[in-house]
Amino acid sequence: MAEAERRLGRWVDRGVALGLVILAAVVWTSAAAIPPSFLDTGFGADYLPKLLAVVLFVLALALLAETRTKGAETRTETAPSIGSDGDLVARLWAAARRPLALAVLLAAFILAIDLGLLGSYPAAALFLFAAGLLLAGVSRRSLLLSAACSLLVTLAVFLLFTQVFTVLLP
Amino acid sequence: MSGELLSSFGDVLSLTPLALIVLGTVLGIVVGAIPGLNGAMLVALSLPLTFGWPPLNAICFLVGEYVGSISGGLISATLLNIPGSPSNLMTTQDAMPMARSGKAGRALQLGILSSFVGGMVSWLALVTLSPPLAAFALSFGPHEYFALVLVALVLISSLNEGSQCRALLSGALGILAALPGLDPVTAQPRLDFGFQAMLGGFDLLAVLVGVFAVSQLLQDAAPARVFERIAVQSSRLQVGLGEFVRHWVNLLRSAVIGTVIGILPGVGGSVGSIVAYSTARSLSKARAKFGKGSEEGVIASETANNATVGGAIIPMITMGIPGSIIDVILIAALTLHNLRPGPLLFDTNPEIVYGFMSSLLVANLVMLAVMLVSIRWLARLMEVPKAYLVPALLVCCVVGTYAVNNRLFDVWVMFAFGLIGLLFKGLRFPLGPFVIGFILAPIAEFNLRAALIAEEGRWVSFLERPISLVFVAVAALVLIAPLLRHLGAIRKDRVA
Repeated sequence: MAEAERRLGRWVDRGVALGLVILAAVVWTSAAAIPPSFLDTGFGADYLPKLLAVVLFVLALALLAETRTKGAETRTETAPSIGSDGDLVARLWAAARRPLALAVLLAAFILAIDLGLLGSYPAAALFLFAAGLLLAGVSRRSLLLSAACSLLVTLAVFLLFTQVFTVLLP
Repeated sequence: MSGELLSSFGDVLSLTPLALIVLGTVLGIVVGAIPGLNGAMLVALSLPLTFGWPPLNAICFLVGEYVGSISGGLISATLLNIPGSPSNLMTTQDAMPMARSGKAGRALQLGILSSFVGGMVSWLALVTLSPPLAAFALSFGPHEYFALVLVALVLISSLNEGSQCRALLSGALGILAALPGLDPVTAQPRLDFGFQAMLGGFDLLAVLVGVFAVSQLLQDAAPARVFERIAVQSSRLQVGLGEFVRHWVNLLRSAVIGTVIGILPGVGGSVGSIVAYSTARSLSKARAKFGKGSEEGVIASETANNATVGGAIIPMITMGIPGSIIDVILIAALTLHNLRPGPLLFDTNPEIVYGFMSSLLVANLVMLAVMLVSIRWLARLMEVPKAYLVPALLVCCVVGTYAVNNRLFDVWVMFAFGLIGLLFKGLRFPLGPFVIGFILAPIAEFNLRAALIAEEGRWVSFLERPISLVFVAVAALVLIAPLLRHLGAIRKDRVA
């Protein structure tokens, strides 16, 4: 299992290094497209982005080199233990599932406000209820607690922001 | 100075600022004590609330949170073996074994008293060192400032646990995140990729809340491991004053180590605690007891991590360089109030500078009183169900970020940086260099370009000024030290 994790880690690091090289290229190209200003001193708006693109490129290569030498061993030393049984992908998925699901719920909450589908407070109440159920699991107790938390927190946020800080939310 | 400091105490001890210090400290302790929540998250989350307050009130509240969160982590470190914040990592080594052997109350009280001593020693350093350092920093020009930022980034990258290359990459990506928008010198748009909303750049608060709060809360949603939990039987004082004072050498040494490490740009409580703990262990007569319930270990770790707070504020108010991650957020708080930390702050807004000093002292006193009195109740905080707490805090992130500029774009930025923070954690890229790079990028860019324009592009000019030369030399030394160590090890192997 440790070997499988190490192999996966190496591939992830290679992917990251490649992504950083692409990012460096995008930053350089975008900086090169900035026209010289009328105050042209040779150190204009494009100077730091170009410098940074070079630094990113060099560091991406260093990361690649590190992956080949000691990166794999470090991963097994420092990565948090996810568990000891089961297949690697299943274990990784088990650890990442709830954070990802919560992120999707959060995105849906913001999107609902942004598109004007719901007002901020109904959207917040729905998000709190759904997230409570996601994290606590579905049971009669969690249904009651999630509903209570959803109402109380929404009310508290409403009172704090509209009455105390006089902020109008969409 | 003493007159201004005394007058500042008068301001801070008036009703509202004092109430805010107490509230901030209590909140900090609560958040520090709940595993998974940390001080950086709390301070970032509180920023939108303090936006409309008078600056001194905001400072009192945030400094209280800072001190409280560093101290509160002791509780979960002792009773759950989980450091409440990274700076309590070494405390777990001895506090938990003490708790297992029925001395939970004693371990907590030793930690609280040590935290207080660490806080007081670093407060003394803050009061005595800041004015001369600020006067010295007035002689800095663009070369010195750019070189100083370089040192800050390299130091935090090298002192980070794990790969230095990843830490440097994190810092570089932080600088990159600060570049989109209008160029500060020529006002030309850059790296906006055609998005009108990006012309204003990424809002500082949205980035900080995303990176510190949202990423942490999303991470907290993962299924938690079940930990051994120990209860505190009695809140009666179990540590005698005479008995505690017997540890004065360890206390003083750890406080000085913590303060000095705090002063180093970008390096916070965890490194201070590790160095002080290692030093105490190597100098102790009872070395074998370390890791098995040594009181010296608890004292060293807790004294040093609280001492870093005062130490870290020194470079922040004298040079505008954050001494720790939470100082990045304190700089953001000052920026939100149109204040620029640095040597000129002593002349333009002395009430803010001395406000930091007096609120730090008061917050330490409040922390001592609150924690000693309420240990048993604080221990129950670890039973707070995260299933309901995490979503509530996420709603506060969304509403708070929106409230500052009334822009939903900022909320999306916060969400995106929350995901970036989560990704960084997964890929073992440290977040510290990223936020320090982000906040220092404007200073670095402005000074780099000013220096190069003045010297007609001569990079060697950074080596022609003594202060700048020292900073560049330190940065270079810190960068190549691991390489030299590696080469030395290879040579040793060959000889063997």
